[in-house]
Amino acid sequence: MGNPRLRGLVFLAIGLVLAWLICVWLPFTVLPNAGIAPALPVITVPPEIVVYGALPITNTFIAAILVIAVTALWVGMMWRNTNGWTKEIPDRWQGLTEVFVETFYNFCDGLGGEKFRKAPFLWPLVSSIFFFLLIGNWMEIFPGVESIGYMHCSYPNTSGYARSEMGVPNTWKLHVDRTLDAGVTANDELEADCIHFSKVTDSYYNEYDPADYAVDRAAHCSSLAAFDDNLPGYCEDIAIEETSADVQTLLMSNSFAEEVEEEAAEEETAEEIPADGLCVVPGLNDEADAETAAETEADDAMEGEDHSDEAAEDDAADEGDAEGTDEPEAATEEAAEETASLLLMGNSNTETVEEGDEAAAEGEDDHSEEKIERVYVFGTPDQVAVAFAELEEAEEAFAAGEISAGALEEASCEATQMVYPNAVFPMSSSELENNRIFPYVSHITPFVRVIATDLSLNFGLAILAILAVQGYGIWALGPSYFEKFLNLSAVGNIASRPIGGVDFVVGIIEIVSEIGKIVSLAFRLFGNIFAGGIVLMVFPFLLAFVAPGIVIGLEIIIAFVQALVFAVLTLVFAVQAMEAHHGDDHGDEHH
Amino acid sequence: MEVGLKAVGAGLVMLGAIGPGIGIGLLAQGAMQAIGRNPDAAGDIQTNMILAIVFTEAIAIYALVVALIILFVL
Repeated sequence: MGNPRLRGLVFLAIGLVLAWLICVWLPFTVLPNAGIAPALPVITVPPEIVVYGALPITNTFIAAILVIAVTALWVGMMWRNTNGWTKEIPDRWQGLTEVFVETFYNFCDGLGGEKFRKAPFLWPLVSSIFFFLLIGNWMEIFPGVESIGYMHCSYPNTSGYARSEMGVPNTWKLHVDRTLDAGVTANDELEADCIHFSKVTDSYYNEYDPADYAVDRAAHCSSLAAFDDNLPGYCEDIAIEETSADVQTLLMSNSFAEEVEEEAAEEETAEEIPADGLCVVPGLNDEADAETAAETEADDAMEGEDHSDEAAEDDAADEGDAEGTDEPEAATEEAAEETASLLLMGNSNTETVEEGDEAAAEGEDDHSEEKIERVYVFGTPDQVAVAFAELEEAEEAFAAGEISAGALEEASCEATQMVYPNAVFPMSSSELENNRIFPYVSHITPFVRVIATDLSLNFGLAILAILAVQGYGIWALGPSYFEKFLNLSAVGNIASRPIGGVDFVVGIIEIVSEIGKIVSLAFRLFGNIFAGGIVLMVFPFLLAFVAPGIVIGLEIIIAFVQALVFAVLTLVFAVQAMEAHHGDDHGDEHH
Repeated sequence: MEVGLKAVGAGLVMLGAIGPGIGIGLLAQGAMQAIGRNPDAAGDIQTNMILAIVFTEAIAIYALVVALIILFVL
C-alpha cells in the first residue's frame, strides 16, 4: 500500500462502489421495494393553502415570514455583535456581512452615481428588495422546501399516489413502488371517495360517525367556497343534501341514477389512460359492474326493501334506453350526473350503516374480526366475500403458474374495486384484509414554497417599486415630472412646432411603458424562479445521476441573478426618472 | 389527447424564445467587440450588457410563462 497509485486505485474503487450503492442501489432498488420511491411533486401556479380558516394562510406566506425572520435574525445578531456598528475591529461575521453589503452598495453606486447617493431611502429600498429576494430565492435549494408538507387526498386534475401504512396504525406514507412513476390523475369522484375513505378509516381510532360525513363535507365545501369559485363537483350537491334528507333516500331507491353513474363511468373510462400497473379509473368493466349491481339489489331485497323489483325493471329498461339512444339531452345528463354523485354518497353511507348494524347484531367480536369489519366501509359483506374468493383464487392460480401477472393484476383490481369503488390501486388479499393500503390517490402539499413562485408577491413588489420610482421622479423634478407622460408644452407650442405632436404621443406611450415595467418585473422573477423550481424537482426524473447537481448549481446562480436584476432595475428606473427628460427644451437640465 | 395538445401548444409557445436568443447573441457580440476595442471599459460594458440581456430575456420569459400557464393552469 505504499504505492500512492495503488492507494489511489483502492480509494477510487471504494468511492465508486459507495456512489453506486447510494446513487443506484438505494434509490432504484431499496426504496422502491419499500414503497417509498421519489414521488413526482404536484405543480400548481397558485400557491397552496396550508391553514384553512377565516384567514387562509398559503405556503408562500409562510415562506415570506421565514425570509423576514431569517433577515431580521441576521441583522439583529449583527447589530448585537458589532455593538450597533460601532466596533472598530470587525470579526469574521461582520466582515462577511460587510463584504455582501458593500459589494452591492458599490455596484449600485457605479450604476446610479450621484443621484443614487442623494435620493432619500433609495439605498434602503434597493437593498431590501435585493436581500429579501436573494434569501427567498435561495430557499429553493434547501432540502424540505417545496417537498415537506402534509398528506391529503389529491384534488381533481392533480396526480397522486396510493398510501400505505408505515407499521404504526393510521400513519401513512405515499406508496410509490416504481421509480419515475408519475402517479394517477384524480377527478371529483376520486377525491370524494378518498375523503370518505380517510374519514371512515380514521373512525376506527376516532369514533367518527359516518353519518357525519355529509356534514363534514358541507363544512369542507363552505370553507373552500370562502376563497375559491371553482368548487369541486361534489360540492355542488351540498345545498340539496343539507336541506332534505328525503331527497337522498329517494335517490338511493332510484336505480336510474346508478345507471347514469355507470354511463358516466364508461365515458370516463374511455378517456382515462391508466398508468402501468394501476387500475383503470373508475375501472368498472362491464361484467364486474353488472355483478356488483346485481348483488347490491339482491342485498336490498333480502333486507326487505320494497323497491327492488320495480327498480330492477327500471334498471333493465334504462339500460336498454341508454344503449339504444346515443345522445341524452345535455341538461338531463348534467342533472343525472349530479344525482349520480349524490347516490354514490348515499350508497356508501347506507352500507356503512349496514355494517355498523351487523357488527352490533353480532355482538362481541375479537379484535382481528373487528379490524376486518372496518375494512368494508364501502362494500356489503356479500360483495366483500365474493371479492376475497375471486382474488384468492386468482392468487393461487398465479402461484401455480396458471395465469400471467397481468391477469392477476386485473383480478386484484376487480376485487379491490368491489370493496372500494373507484380504487386505483390493486391490493392483494392480505392487503385487503389488513387495510394497509389506501387505494385512492393522495399527494403532499408543501408547508413552505419559495416566495417568488407566488405572482401576488411579484406584482406587489413590482408595483411598489414602480410607485417608488414615480415618487423619486416627483422628488427630483417636481410637478414637471408629469411632462414625461402628458406633454402639455408640446401641445401648447403645436402652432410653432408641429413636430411637437409626436412628443405628446410619445408621452402617452410612456404611460404604457410604466405598466409594462411592472408586468415585466413581475413575470421575469416569477418565470425564472417558478421554472427553476420545476426543473429542480423534475430533473432527477429525467437524468438521475450527475445532472441534478449541475442544475442545483445553475439555480443558485439564477436565483442570485434574478434578485440582483429586480433590485438593479428598480434602481435604474429610479435614476432614469430623476433625470430631466429629453425634448423638454425649456426646462432646466439639472436641478 | 388533451394533454398531448397542451404539450404541443406549450412547445409551440416556446418558439418565442428564438427571437430573444438571436437578440442576446447579437448583444454579446457587440459587447465582446467593444471590449476588444477598449479593454479598459470592460466593467461598464459588462454591466450594461447584462442589463440589456435582462431586458431581452424578458421576452423569452413571457413565452415561458405562457407555456407554464398552458401546462399547469389551463
